Amino acid sequence: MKIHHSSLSKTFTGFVLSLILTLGAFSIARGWTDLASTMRHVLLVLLALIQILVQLRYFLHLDGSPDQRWKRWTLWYTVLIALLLLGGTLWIMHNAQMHMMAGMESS
Amino acid sequence: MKSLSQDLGKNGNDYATEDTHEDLTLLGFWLYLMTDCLLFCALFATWAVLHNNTAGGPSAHDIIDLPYVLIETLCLLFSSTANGIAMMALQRRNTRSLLGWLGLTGILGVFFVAMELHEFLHLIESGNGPQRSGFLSSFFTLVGTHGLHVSIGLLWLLTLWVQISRKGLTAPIHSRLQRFSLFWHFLDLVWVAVFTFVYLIGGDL
Repeated sequence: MKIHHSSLSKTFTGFVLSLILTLGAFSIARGWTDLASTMRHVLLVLLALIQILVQLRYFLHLDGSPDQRWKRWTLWYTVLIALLLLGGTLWIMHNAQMHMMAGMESS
Repeated sequence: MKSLSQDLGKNGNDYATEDTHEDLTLLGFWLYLMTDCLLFCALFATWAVLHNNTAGGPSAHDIIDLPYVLIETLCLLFSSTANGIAMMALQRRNTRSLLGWLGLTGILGVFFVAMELHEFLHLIESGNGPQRSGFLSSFFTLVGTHGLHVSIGLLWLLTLWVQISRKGLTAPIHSRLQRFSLFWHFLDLVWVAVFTFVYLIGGDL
């Protein structure tokens, strides 16, 4: 069977990297209060993105091999729809809130 | 899985056909995970819209205990890793080791769910249940949906564990374990997004 063989070193790498990224994220959220909150949030999102990529690579064994082409294509399509869904929702709801607040000011 | 259009029958031998079939089954499960991704995405969007609507109730900052969430997070990460090690025992066809690591995967998963339930019960007892505010509704729905996934995964793991210990590593069980492994790693991946946005950033807004 053509199963993607994982190795101990791969799982271990994924684990150590995820552990470092998780502990890093929690210490930033708790400790780095001098930092502007926007900066802190950007850092946290960045760490989460890296950890998601690490886990896709080392735990879900997603790589660039040709026999995983369909997995990659469907993942990219999901990312596209996810961004449309998130972006669209936030945009519309923000807009609606702005309009409602404008109405309150004029009355 | 070079191309799906490649006719299964064109493969010269049975081995290759079984190969393609196994790959297609895994791809099918992968597609389910992608749709699950979109479900979580919709819940994240709901949370993002509602997280400030506290209706005079507590905000995320008031209810979140970061060290507690860190332990929860580590439980799930350790569980995901134990599952990865179990899959290597599967490759070596070492049933004892496989059962041991799957057992650890399950126990850590149970810890995670128990901690989350404790958090939820504590919130509900102090009058901050999902009906308290828009923020709490979206919080309970998002975190609860993930917890429900983990709970169903644990049930799945239990059935697999019993199957392995009774029947040994048959081909169907091998195939099921591949899919369970994908599911379990995927749930840890979703949790990365949950703890980052809902707990770390949400608790800091």
